[in-house]
Amino acid sequence: MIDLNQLIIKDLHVEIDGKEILKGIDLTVSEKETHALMGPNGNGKSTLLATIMGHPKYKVTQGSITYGGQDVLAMEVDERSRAGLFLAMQYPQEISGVTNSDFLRSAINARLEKPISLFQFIKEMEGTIKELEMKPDLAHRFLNEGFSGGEKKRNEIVQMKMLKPSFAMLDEIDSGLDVDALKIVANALVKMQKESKMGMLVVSHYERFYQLLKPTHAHVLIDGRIIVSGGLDLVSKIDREGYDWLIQQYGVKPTIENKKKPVFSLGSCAASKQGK
Amino acid sequence: MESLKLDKSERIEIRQDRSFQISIDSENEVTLSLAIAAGVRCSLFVECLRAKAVHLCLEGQSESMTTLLFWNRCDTAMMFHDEVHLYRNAVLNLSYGELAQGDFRRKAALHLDEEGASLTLRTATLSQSEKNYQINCIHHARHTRSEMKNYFVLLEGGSCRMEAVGKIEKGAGQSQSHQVSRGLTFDQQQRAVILPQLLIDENDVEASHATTLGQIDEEQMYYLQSRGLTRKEAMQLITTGYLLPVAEAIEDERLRQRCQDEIEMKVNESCSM
Repeated sequence: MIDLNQLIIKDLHVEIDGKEILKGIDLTVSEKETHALMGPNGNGKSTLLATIMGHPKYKVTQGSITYGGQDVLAMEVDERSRAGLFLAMQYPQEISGVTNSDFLRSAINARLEKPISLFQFIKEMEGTIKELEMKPDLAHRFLNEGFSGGEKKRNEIVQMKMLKPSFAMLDEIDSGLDVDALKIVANALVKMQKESKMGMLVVSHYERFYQLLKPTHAHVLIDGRIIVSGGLDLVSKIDREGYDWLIQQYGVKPTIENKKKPVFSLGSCAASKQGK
Repeated sequence: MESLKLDKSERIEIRQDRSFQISIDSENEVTLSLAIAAGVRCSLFVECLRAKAVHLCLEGQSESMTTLLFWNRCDTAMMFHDEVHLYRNAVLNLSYGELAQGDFRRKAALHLDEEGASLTLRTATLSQSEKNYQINCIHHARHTRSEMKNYFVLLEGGSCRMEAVGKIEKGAGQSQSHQVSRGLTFDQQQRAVILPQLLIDENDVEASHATTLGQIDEEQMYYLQSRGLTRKEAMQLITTGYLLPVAEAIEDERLRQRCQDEIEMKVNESCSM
């Protein structure tokens, strides 16, 4: 029998601007499983999640991704979402003029035959906002505009709860959250998973977050390959000892992340030209 | 809400707190003079259905608070000429909703005549023809404040030119003049010219301008699509977001909803490519 919520990745190679980032990933996530994805920065964790979601920047050169037997790579980004995939992003976009509630209602309606009633929507939205302990005016604020880092991350989880995906990916959703917020988010995730068959693929650097989520599997991604897999004990070992032992044991060279210089432009200003 | 039909020039004195709607429908040029008495709060919705040209003169006496949304519904070429005077501590929240199909030219002279006067201007323009704004915001007195927020969406065949001047005259110290312009275009052929100017003749003031102009951000599209919206739905939502906030100036809920529906409808019609 086909597990309708099983994600299968085979020999996945991905490049960006002609540079190969993922060099052959094999990974299977079944329903109700939680997989922790670890590894030094710049070695392909976010690339893997974004490729599964379908970010246009990443080009798949080899391999396959299927979800419940469907060819994910043949789908548009929005089709993947409607098929049940969700990515809580590391850097959620700010969209001015679009309120959270208008956006979420459109997103919910996109996956329904008959639009959700306003009453039902407001009830669910209010409940979710309360559960994640966000300010009640969230619904009427513009999507992520002027949100603090922590608010943006929590808003990703609000969206996730409302959209009820069957497979969720979290990209460093815990960064920017304080200890209390981390617990609120983790509890919400654990509760969601209990209520559904949702599988999860989680990128985080913090053992604390993993201890709350209790992953069933853990993988370490270095230089575009999964070099070792294990369970929660692997997470704890990495928390204590870092990645050096792995790098030595497996003889891999991690990609050293180039710190990108932020794009910064003062532009030109009439006043400064005249002032010279 | 009271409503008023206007087919010729008229002067309206507002002496007590009021909220009303004025519809201009005339074959000629129309001058609408609005005199808002001291201390009065009023909320106005002015729609132009038909006219050769419209002159809007508004005087806000001391401590008055006015919200005015001017909604152009003329699909023929139009010329607007506005003159505003704000006196001591008068506050004006002025919005222009420009979604009509015709060419259009608007000249506005907005005077902050006395201390404490404050003006917020918001424009929302959906252009599939030629739209031309010339806005002058002149600070004559100390402690005056102006803020302009201009939002454009340029459709195929649309162009836009905006000259927005913030002028702080000598003697108008401690004043603030700010402006932000954001333009959204759908292809690289489109013409949009935004010329922000700050003419400052006094020390100890605050002034700023910011302009962005470009096509829809692909990262924003990806974000919305990753939540299940199709490309078309995502595009419509982002585009609507440029224009929708202009309707927030309307207090009356039903009227506000009507304007918002109109914006959504026009955007959805034109973003169906």
